Amino acid sequence: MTPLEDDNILEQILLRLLTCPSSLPRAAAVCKRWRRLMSDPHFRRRFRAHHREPPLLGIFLRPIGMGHVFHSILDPTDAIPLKRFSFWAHHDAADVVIDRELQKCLEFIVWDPVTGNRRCAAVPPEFENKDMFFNNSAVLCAAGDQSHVHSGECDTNHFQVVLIGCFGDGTEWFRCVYSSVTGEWGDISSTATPGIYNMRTPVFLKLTPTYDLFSFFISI
Amino acid sequence: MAAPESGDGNNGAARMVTLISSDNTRFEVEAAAASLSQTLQLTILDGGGGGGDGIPLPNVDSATLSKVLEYCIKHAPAAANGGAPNATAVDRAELERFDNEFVNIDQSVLYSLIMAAHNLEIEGLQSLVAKKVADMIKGKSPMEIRRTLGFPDPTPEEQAEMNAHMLEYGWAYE
Repeated sequence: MTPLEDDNILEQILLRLLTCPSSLPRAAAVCKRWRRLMSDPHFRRRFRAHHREPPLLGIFLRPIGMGHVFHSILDPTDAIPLKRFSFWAHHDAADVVIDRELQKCLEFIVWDPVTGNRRCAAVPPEFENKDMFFNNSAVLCAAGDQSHVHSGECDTNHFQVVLIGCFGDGTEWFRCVYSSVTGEWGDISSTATPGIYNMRTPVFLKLTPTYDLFSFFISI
Repeated sequence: MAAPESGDGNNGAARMVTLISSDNTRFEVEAAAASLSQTLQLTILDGGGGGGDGIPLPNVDSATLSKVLEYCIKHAPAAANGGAPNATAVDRAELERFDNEFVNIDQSVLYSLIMAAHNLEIEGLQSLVAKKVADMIKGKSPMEIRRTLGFPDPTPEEQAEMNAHMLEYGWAYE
């Protein structure tokens, strides 16, 4: 008997495979037994817990006049094609409800494409100010526990939403943070626009636990 | 005040235990090193393995046990220090260098080590050898993985299943 015939040992090995998207599909093609073990939800959970940091697969961009598009930032082998995102067909209907003419975000929906859980909330009245334009948003897990594993254990009822955008004259950016725990938006804070940006510059949200407005800005 | 008593035994001398491989070779080793094995730890705590008795390990041959003990002896000081939270970067780098060298071995030896680490429940070693196998197959195609690990050629039925799976995840092979 080789060690790989022992399910416990095999699992210990497979848990240590790379997190890049091509890694598990390739290993799962090796044989039926590997496929069975790796498709077990318990394995998936342990895999996420073992690696803790999920890989960044890509970004959603919203070119002017178009819906969101997914753009992989990985090599072609690890570039998950759009059709693998089964939620995509519903995405435009779900994401945020936008008045196309005013580019106003009237309601946001936080959607976990894995579990299908959704949470909706209206944006505060100040956001109806015609001079405020949203540029990007991000969802942060609000769990503060050190042992917490993001994505593996994130509670879709316990999160924060960060919206950033700029004022109409392009001189100032603002951010506002929503807490699912309180169900309320925090104060809107703003800062002068860094010189190299303008209101049409797409913005990445770099997710850091202690988010500072400028830590969000990465030019693309 | 008396000097702190050594946790290992009397008069500061490290307590030794004897392990007996499947081919009847006797290995005398510090109890602290052998205790990295969860399997042996209870026996050792109960006072076993000392003197002329020895602890028989019918599933581990002498070549493998020798290798296992090399690992345990190297890692015992850090383990005794609660995973060495205060270890210096130099200490950690040295252990990492040792680990990398340690698993730079033939596949048959690696497989024997995996079984021994599993039977003896040596957590750090289990993790190390599992990582080594995972590294051996990273970036490889399913067929290359099979060859690397010494799997027999797939039957036509298995081949058809592999092809179907690869077709479904075609992007992962581009």
